[in-house]
Amino acid sequence: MDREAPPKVPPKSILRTSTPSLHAPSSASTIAPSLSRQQPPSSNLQQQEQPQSQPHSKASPDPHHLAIALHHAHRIQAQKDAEALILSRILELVTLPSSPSADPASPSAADVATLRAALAPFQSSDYDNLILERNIEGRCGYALCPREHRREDHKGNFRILWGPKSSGSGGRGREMKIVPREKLEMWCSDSCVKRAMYVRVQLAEDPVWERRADDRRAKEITLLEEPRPLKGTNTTTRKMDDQVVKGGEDSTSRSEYAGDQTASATATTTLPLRGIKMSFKDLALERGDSNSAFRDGRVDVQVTEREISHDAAVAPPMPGPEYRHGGSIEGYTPKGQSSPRGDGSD
Amino acid sequence: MDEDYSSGSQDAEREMARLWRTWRTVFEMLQDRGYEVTEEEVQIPFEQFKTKYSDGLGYPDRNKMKVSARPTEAMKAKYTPVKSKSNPNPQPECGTVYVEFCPDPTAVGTKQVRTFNHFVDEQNFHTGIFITQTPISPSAVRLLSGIPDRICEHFQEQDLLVNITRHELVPKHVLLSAEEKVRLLERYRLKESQLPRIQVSDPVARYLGLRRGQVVKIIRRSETAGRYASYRWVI
Repeated sequence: MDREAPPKVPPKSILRTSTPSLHAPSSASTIAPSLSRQQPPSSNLQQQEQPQSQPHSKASPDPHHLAIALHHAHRIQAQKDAEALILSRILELVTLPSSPSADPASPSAADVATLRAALAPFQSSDYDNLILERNIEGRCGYALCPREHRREDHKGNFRILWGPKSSGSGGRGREMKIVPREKLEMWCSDSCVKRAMYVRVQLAEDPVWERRADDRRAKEITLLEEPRPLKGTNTTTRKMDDQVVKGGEDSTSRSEYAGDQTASATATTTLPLRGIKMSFKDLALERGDSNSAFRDGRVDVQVTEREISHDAAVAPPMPGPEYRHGGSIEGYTPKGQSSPRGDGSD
Repeated sequence: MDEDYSSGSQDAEREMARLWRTWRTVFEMLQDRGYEVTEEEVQIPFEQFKTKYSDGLGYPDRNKMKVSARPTEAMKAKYTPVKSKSNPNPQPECGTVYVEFCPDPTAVGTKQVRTFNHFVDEQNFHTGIFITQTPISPSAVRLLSGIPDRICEHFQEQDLLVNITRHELVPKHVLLSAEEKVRLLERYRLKESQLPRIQVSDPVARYLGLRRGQVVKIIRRSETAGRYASYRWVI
């Protein structure tokens, strides 16, 4: 029976004979079992010994092909993991902020930290999904706002929004915007639009599995600085220039307050420790190698630095007198403006 | 027919009629996939549907509209993988199906999908079909397809208003069993990757609940040959 077997190969094992890279993108799950089936060498050896008439069909896979297939499989798995992570992050952010009375203008430090951490792998389209998801739940699209999104009563599909006075063209009249209703209903207020969009533009455009590991663009997301509030109300983040300009007791008390805030802000974004242990990790970061998917199939490079003695300070090379006017160019000494008077003219 | 036709009851009647058509398509779909449904269920008349699934005001009550069906023997045979040395006694890769209509009239998000997923998982259904009135959000789609070992599908009510496979321009699609597929590949000396392909997201593939790797036989009428069969690999 086994001699007639080759055409009857079960359909899944097709990857064995065709180039694996071609099929790698189709699905990681189908690759993994078929590859693992190839790996036990005992079964392969038995089959190899039997038939001479079928030289290549049952041969063990080319290790090169196997490596390529595994590489692609790991990549796809990493991508799937990243997507699952983003999905769970979205679900997490839908429930933010933690307290129903939170003020979007002065969010609690813990909420800000969660938001920042969660948004790191996001693309702007994922952020849009988050907004949509929050709206479905009936909340304002901005992740730190506990209020409900507004609902328009009238049935029109568009609304005209008027800007403040003298905001139109040429400083006269009012600016007019025509906004589709669904865009308007995403948010609770115009200030939340600003805050949310301020975050959105900071997100990286490329998906997280294609980013370099040292890409810090999306990692340091800042929130919109809130404008100075009216007297008596509290806002956390203030512009620093405000404090410089203002004098008197008011400013000192406020600067203390702001100092607290900046301290907490730096606490949330703790810089990674730099040490000898971290040097390999840093190296990997620099190369964009930190993704575990790429580790396989690559040469593991161990870099050990040679000790350099710093005793003998190397003196800079001193140019000789003939280089005073720039020297010669490929043996030719130019007879420019400076050379006739100098030693260039022989 | 009532004499005093208020606009409210007219609306209710219209919505009921739309839902009735969707309901029938769902049953036709289950039948075409090979689940056990009776002819009476498929051919349910409008009046009967109205009395059964409407609330007091005549509007449809989607909370009542839940169906589960077991696969027939023929379907089980079709979904059983071929015997192999490693798997001498293969089990059919299909099971009870559960269909639910989402009662929420507004946009459907992860919350509803999560409860649906939970229910499917808890009741140990093999396949779940979630039918909503409006499109569901992208993250909800991802969540729906995310449960391991279960298959959850999503349709919109308006997609099922008419049965697309009954249209004259849609050729007949027949799913091949694993054994038939092996025989086909042997007969034509092909690898499955050499077949033409059909996407999983293809409307007919969605209707039949095709899975990646299956082969479907498409029979069309041909002016010259009478009938022409082609095979497509689901990808």
